[in-house]
Amino acid sequence: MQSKQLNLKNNKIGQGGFTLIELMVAMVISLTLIFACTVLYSSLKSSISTAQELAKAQESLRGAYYLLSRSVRHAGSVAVGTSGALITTYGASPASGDKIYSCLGNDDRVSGSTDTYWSEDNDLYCDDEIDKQKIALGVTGFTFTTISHANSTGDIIYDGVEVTMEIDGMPSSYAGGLTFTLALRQKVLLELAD
Amino acid sequence: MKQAENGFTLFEVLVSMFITGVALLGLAQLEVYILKSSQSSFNYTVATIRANSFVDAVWADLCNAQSASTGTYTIIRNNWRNEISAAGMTVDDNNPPAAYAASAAVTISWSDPRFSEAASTENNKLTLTARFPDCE
Repeated sequence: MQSKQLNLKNNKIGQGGFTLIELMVAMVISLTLIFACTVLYSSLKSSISTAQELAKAQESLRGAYYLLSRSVRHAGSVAVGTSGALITTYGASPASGDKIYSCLGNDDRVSGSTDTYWSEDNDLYCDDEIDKQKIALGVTGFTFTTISHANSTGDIIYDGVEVTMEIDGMPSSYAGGLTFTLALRQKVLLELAD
Repeated sequence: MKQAENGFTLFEVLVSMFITGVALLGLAQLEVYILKSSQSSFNYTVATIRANSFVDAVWADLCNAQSASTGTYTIIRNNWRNEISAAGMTVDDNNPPAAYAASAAVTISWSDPRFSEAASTENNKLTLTARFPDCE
């Protein structure tokens, strides 16, 4: 207390601030830290967005593959619809007590029911004759070729479908999309049972 | 005036900077790890789909694939192997087996350059086991 009063009275004792050197050193240190944080933050942000893109692409791929493979494997035949749509038609009604689910989860599939898949505005849609819904996002390419053979009477019998999907956010090594084969397993099993 | 200086010592500043540096390095590590795992996860999804693709290709022509005389199985297997190799993944010589078998394993391996500890070798591997019905 005493010295403080003394200070107020006697103005000759200078104000206790930082010297220029101290200030400069402190600024250099804090600027370095801020710079390091900025660099780290921006790279962290970009790698997180890359990871998110990959995760989104993966989600679309898995979802679309799951629904497509379920429809095709249960189907009796496949066909090409308008503007490149893939139509799967169920060949046999499920045994009593069993259920076959459509692409949208409806459990009413009987012989002749269809699931139709097509890509529109970079999304994959499915129509199960009850409803029409988006099932995968960012699908920029959805093309397919059917696999078939002619039977002894010359009829075309469909055996499967080869699907190529291009999805937003896939790594650059998948530039042409991912191609996979799906077989009409249910039809094969029914033929074997005959 | 002589006892007025009351800041940090050099040692204290160095210690705090060291701690900050370790924290920042930890964040950088985290970033590398995020990228690694999402890439690795994506590759597993793709490998699963590719392995399933072989199984379904056999299903699609099951009866021909089962009779060795047609050579269908060999064609399907070779086509699939070429496809996988072209996509930068490695196929196993014995899985899928060279000749048709009712129970077959399908193995795909690939290298993940982000896992630097084993950049040159195939450090990721997926095996799928499939059974086919008998065709009379």
